[in-house]
Amino acid sequence: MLLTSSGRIRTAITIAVIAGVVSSACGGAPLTAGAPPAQDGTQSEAEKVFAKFNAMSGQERHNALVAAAKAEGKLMLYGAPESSGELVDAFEKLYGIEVEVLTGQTEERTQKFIQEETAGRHVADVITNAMESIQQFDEMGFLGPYKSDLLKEIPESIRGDNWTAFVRVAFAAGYNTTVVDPSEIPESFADFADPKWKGKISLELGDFAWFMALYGYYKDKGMSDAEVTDLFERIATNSKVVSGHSQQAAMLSAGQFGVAVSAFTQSVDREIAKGAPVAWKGDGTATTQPIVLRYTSVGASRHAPHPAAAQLYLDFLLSPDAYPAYAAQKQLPIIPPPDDPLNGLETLPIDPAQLATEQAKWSDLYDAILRKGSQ
Amino acid sequence: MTAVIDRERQDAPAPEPPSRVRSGLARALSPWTVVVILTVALLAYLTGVPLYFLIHDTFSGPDGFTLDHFGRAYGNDSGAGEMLYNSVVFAVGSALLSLVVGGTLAYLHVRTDVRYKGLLFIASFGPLIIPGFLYTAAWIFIADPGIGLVNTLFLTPLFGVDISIFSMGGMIWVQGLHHAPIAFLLMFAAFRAMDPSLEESALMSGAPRRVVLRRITVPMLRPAILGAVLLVFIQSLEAFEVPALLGLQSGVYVFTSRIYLELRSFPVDYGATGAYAIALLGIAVIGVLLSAFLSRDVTKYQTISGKAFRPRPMELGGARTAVNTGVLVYFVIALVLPLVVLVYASLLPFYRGPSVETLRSLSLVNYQRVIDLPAALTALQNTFVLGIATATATMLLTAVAAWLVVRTKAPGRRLVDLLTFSPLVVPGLVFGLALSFVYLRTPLPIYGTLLILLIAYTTKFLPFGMRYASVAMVQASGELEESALVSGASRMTIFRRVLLPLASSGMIAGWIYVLVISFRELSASILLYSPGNEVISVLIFDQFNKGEFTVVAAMGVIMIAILVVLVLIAYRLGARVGVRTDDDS
Repeated sequence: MLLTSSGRIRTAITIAVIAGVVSSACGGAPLTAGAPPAQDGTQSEAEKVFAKFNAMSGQERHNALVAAAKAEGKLMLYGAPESSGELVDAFEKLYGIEVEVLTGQTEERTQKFIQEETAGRHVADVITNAMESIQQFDEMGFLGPYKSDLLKEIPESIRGDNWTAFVRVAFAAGYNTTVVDPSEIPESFADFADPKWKGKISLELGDFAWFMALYGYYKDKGMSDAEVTDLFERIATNSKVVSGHSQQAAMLSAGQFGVAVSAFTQSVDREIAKGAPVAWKGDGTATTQPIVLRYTSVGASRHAPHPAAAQLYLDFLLSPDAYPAYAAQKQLPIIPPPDDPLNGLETLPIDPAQLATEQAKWSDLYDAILRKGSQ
Repeated sequence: MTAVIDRERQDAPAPEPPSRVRSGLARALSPWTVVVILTVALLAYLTGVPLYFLIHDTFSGPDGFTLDHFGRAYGNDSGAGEMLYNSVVFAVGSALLSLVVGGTLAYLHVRTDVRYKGLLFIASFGPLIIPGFLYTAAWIFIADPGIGLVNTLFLTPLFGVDISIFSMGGMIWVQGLHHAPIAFLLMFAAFRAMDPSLEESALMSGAPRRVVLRRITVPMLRPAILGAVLLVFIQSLEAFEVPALLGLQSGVYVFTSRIYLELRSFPVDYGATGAYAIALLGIAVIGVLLSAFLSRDVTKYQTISGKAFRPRPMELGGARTAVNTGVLVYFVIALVLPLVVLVYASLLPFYRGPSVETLRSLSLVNYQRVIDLPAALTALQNTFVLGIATATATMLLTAVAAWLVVRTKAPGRRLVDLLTFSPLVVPGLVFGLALSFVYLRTPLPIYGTLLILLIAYTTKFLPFGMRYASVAMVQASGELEESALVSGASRMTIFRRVLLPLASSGMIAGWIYVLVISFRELSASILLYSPGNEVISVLIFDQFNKGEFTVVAAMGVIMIAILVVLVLIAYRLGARVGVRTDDDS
């Protein structure tokens, strides 16, 4: 019956499968082994523009930059959704430059940028990401130089020749005031190990960097490795584990648990703005300290199609012009304004070098502690 | 049964087409052969790209071939054994629950005189339309021990007890109900294409209904059952939403929680991620081969033959009231409850349990915000165009591939079957990377356009299209195609005019399924979209990342409304073709 054609089909299938597989394998190179450095010694068009403006300073630089950026008329930003919204609107309004935004999570943005730059398809002007990711772009030679008077106020440890940190991300214990009495909020994380918190607190699945910082903090206070591990195991035993800070914040507002031990202050503050009964600091209420800090960084692409607009956006991110937008987004600009919410609180920056070299260790340990706590 | 099954064996010599005076080349390259060759080459290419990158990343290190990534993924204190156990329990439980629920609903809909058939259909496919993470979040708000509405409004005040969704049972419940539509749609199509006279004869000969079900109905539906179990099982193994939202809080860690962790590290360990995916691939390969082996005697399942039949609904008699009530209860539990929670959440500034105060704060602000999103309209258009194009392309490709696998004995047909299944196990990020790598280096205008999303979606949904198409074709007996061939029709004509119409129930079910899931696709979209080519799922994800849960709920509600309309249109159109039942007339 219908099988008679199978002789022809048979040959055809074999050829077709081979052809298809071979052609798809022809893509060849490994995806993730990292791209070859793009340093080819020549100066890109964008770099010439960067050099021109980096040689200027003050109002002269600003005026020239604004004029050139306006002439370009456009900016392509690869940025996290929570760090683009109001900031982008404010920039567009201030300078009349249209900004297109590509969002997604850290890893997707990282890979998209690396893939495009490696393939020589230069789309992005500016990219914001976690500091370690921006440093990787820099090592790969994807970023163009950035100099500005504004950089002077930023510690050298969190900026380079081609990039700078521009936002502080703060981890604080956020609590729901209808579930937990604010007077019960402890001053130290160690108190969350008390069995009375069982089922009332929450940890986040991927917060190993936060854990790494606190681990070092308690070691410095004289605790042994075993003691710190035991402390966090007891905290984990009391915890509900969630994945993602946004989801953690939504569930905190809903009262699914009373305390999000490692919440982002910006997430909690945004919930407060909606009227949710949550807080991470309050009048006369203790704030659990230290507040662990990490940094979001920014750089301009070495081949930015709109280099002047890119430089102008970087300037904008560091300038007081952006403060109202940061406030609206509940974000903490890198140069603290006078009324900074972290004033008077003990902060603990995550060491980027330690994170870069010891990440696997801390990720595994944190994972093991969470899983042990769940038993 | 005799008319259908005890026909002469399939391998008997078949009649050759009458006109044989064509040249060798023309014959070798008949239009149909060309179509088959092109389809297979395209399928091999589409699935080969992500698969190649997955295998390359998993087995290569700085010094060439390596198995180190497996050591990192499974060795040390990774708890791989326990995770594997949890994953399998979760996947088996979900697959069985989906099968029982979806199969029962399909049987009731097609075969009985149960009331509320429209409602039943909506209840049966409805959960599919709700994005997974919203469906799961809704269940937290329904059955959390502290804030779940069923507990706070009902169980605790009345009985002093509470239920908790945070357990393996709860995970299976949510995953099983959410995926029951896969089983429903597959079985729905299968029942429609099945002549009930076999069961009727058995009943008339005095066999109890239980025996008929066990000895006739279930065996006849084996391909559909296997297809449904396989899809739900593999999907549950790689599902992330339910394990993330419900599993972590109950201490149930599965494979995907591990993959998620790997993807959160920096730089991402693609080797270890791949090592997990390869394990899934192995399970999938076994599943596909097993399924092919168990339904190897294709003639057994051919229920559409030259003999006309017109399925007549079975009268439920005394049980009808009970069954009607059961349908209503299911409708309320699986669809109405979660939907009400979502609609309720979408009207709030942030989620909290109902009270006089919250009821006062209800407003349509979130919907206004969705409409005001700059990319909302473009995204809706893009998603709409992509959904229809993807569903059509997927079903066309898999129809030809299914013909090859089901109707021929060509060597390599199993490989085609396996290749079309492989996209299901490639992690979304790896999938997206593979495609962007290739199309960034292609001179054709594909990268940065909607085309790359169409390619991604079509590839990702081949596994579903393939199951639907092959189950449908297994059921159509070859004898009608033979008659057409004897009468001088070309194979192309036979495919278009005989086989596709006969298999249309299943093909339409598959089309609906792919359409719906393409509205939800996120993992590949997020890497491959570019400004101007946004799709709805990307906008939803952005809002979610901003912590706008209730805006996300509003977007979900809008998306559900659109899809319900689309699916009902497809259902109406689908009812006009293929096997008719007395109901349809």
